[in-house]
Amino acid sequence: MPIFEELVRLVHRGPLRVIYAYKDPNGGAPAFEFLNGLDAAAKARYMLRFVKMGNEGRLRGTDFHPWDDSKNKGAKGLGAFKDIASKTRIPSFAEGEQGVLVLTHGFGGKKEDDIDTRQVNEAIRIRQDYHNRKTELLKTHPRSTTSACGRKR
Amino acid sequence: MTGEKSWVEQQLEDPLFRRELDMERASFEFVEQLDHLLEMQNLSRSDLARRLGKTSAHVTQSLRRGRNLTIKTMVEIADAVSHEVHVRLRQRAAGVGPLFTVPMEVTESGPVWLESCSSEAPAPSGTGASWLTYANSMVFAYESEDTPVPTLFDWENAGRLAGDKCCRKDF
Repeated sequence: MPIFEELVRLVHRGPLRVIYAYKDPNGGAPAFEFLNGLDAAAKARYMLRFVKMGNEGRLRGTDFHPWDDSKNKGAKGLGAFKDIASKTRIPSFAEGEQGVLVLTHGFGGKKEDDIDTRQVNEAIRIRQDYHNRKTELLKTHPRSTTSACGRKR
Repeated sequence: MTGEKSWVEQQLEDPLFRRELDMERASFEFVEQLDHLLEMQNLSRSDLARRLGKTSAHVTQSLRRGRNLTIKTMVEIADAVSHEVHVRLRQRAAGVGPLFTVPMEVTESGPVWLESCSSEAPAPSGTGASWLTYANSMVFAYESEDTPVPTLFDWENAGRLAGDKCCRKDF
């Protein structure tokens, strides 16, 4: 089994970017669970953002907020899809392979870009866990043939 | 990833959700096209508010994602940037369908909707094409004159659309 199936679930595959959701060691995907718990309108708005990100590779500041170290140490490289109407955020990180984004989890309750440190730390923890497990899996599956974006190596 | 349906594909199986998506998409596309126009015209949303005789806060609220924009509001806003609103029906696609994030352009051969590349029609690999559109036309953007023109389609009648950056094929 390709190692990425153990680490992520597919959210959307666009021509410029592929978006996955992090899968925890028990097989759960926190971002999937969060998205599926939203009302239909918020779910639809997130879907449109994923599709635009997949198609065009970027979003406007109203839809995506890149995080940095200035407010939250260790947050550099993370960025959150945001939906102001539902006051929710879905953090993500660049997988390392070109064009691949991984959603970590989701949370609500914040109106502006000043993010709860606990949520930033959770996204950092998930990113670290993803990379640790990926490194371990690559050791045990050195001949894995599928890359994160589904291309054959 | 083998065989697994994406989260997007799973949601699209629900016809009630698709209707919700259609409503959000209409508003999303209007705001995306408007922001594109403002950038093209070097205008801020504050400038737009002044033209409308409204406060910036009012414009920001009106254009916030999730707002149910009325046709009257859309027409007034479009008029402030010298544009018209047109509504177009499109047969439902199997997938999520295209997203019109940039306004309609009028070329010598008629109107062309520039729309984002859809995963249903990926750009040919190895061509340097970075996005494409299809409505009346199929458009591939490519890096430079030196980039090979895609051979997957018949480019015999392809025409220039926007300088050296795009190539157009009517169908």
